[in-house]
Amino acid sequence: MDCVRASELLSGYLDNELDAIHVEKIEAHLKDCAACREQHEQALRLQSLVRERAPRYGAPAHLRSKILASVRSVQPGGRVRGWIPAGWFQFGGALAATVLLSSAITYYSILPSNTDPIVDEVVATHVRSLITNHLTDVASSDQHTVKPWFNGKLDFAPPVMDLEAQGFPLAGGRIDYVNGRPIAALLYRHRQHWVSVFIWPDQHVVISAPRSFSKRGYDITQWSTDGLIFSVVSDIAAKEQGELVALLRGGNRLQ
Amino acid sequence: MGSMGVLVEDRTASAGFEAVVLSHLDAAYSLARWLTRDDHAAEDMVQEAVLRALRFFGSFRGGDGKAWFLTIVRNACFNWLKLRRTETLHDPFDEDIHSPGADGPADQSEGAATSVDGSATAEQIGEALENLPAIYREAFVLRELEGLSYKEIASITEVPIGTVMSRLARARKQLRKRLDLKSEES
Repeated sequence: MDCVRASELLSGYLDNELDAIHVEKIEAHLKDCAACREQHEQALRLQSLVRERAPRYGAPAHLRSKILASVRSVQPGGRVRGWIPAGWFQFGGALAATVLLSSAITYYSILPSNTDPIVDEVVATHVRSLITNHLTDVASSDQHTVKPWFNGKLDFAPPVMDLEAQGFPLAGGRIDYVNGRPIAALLYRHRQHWVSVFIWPDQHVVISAPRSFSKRGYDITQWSTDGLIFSVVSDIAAKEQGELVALLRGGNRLQ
Repeated sequence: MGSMGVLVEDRTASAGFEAVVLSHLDAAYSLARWLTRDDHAAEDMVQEAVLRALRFFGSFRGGDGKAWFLTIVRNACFNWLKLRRTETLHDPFDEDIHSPGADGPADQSEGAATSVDGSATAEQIGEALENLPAIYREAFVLRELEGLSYKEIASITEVPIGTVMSRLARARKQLRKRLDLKSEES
């Protein structure tokens, strides 16, 4: 290896971005070449100097609040201001207004809003799929089409049921990425609303009785069955979400 | 699209957007500040990028939200730099790799104070960074100050990973010269 090539690779070496073969080559070269060795030592000093002392810039508070205000100006009053393209809200009708939780619900216990980042993530994923109009990767109301579609895409087999007869027709499935792993998402329709059912395996978490949270106007219900975590996210009435949860749980037990 | 279209519950639009974009405001501002070298311009660039991101959020298909947003910030800054024509925005011609004599401290401002331990102060480091060509500067800032991988930097700056590596090599070479990092015996 000559010094010109070594000089480029040294940056990759410093950043741990080289493969094993190149690491070996560069280490051999460093052993033999004092000039490159000196260069590498200087680069190491530069790295620690910059990390320790370089000026850091973070978004100033007034900029952050200005931006937050303009993003949230989309909100008050439930009206979208002009600069948001209307195309975004193709599914607006499906989203409709949030239905408040009724205090009379006894289907499941309602816990205070939870700070679990995964709950935030599933809500954000549900919302993103609606905003980006990326509802399904496989659009089918046939559970025998949707279930095999997941084969080979995930390291677990999510249970898939069509619940059309019960008022929740299956619209399809897709793969999402939550909590650092690919997960299954099933999409159900309920009148004008979309309901996401996220499913992923976790042997360490057992949620035997469904628990619910309210977040950003969405209701999330979570439980686990046989090592799989289920998270249902929607803006349908809590009572109806309770019905869907009962159907899904009943169906899982039968399988 | 009927009038139903705008009857979206308020939080819908921003819930996903906030999760994807607004959590990276600091990184966005930092990149914009280093690229424009100006507080006000950096704020303008970030605001502009947020508006563009809002507009294009519909085409975001999940994945790395930080890289997606920083790409928009980066492009806004480069458009700004292009209009001002004060900077070279392509890979400059490279001098020889460690040719003798090229290792001396280049264009150090005279009488610049050094810190107690003899090495460069924050001010000097900032100045040296700001004097890098923009494409070296962005690679270096994304790597050393934002801690991004070559793959992420390649995606943000829209060049191959090999180019990221060689830009970083050149950035480091110029910084070593400017900051005079030779070891004690030299």
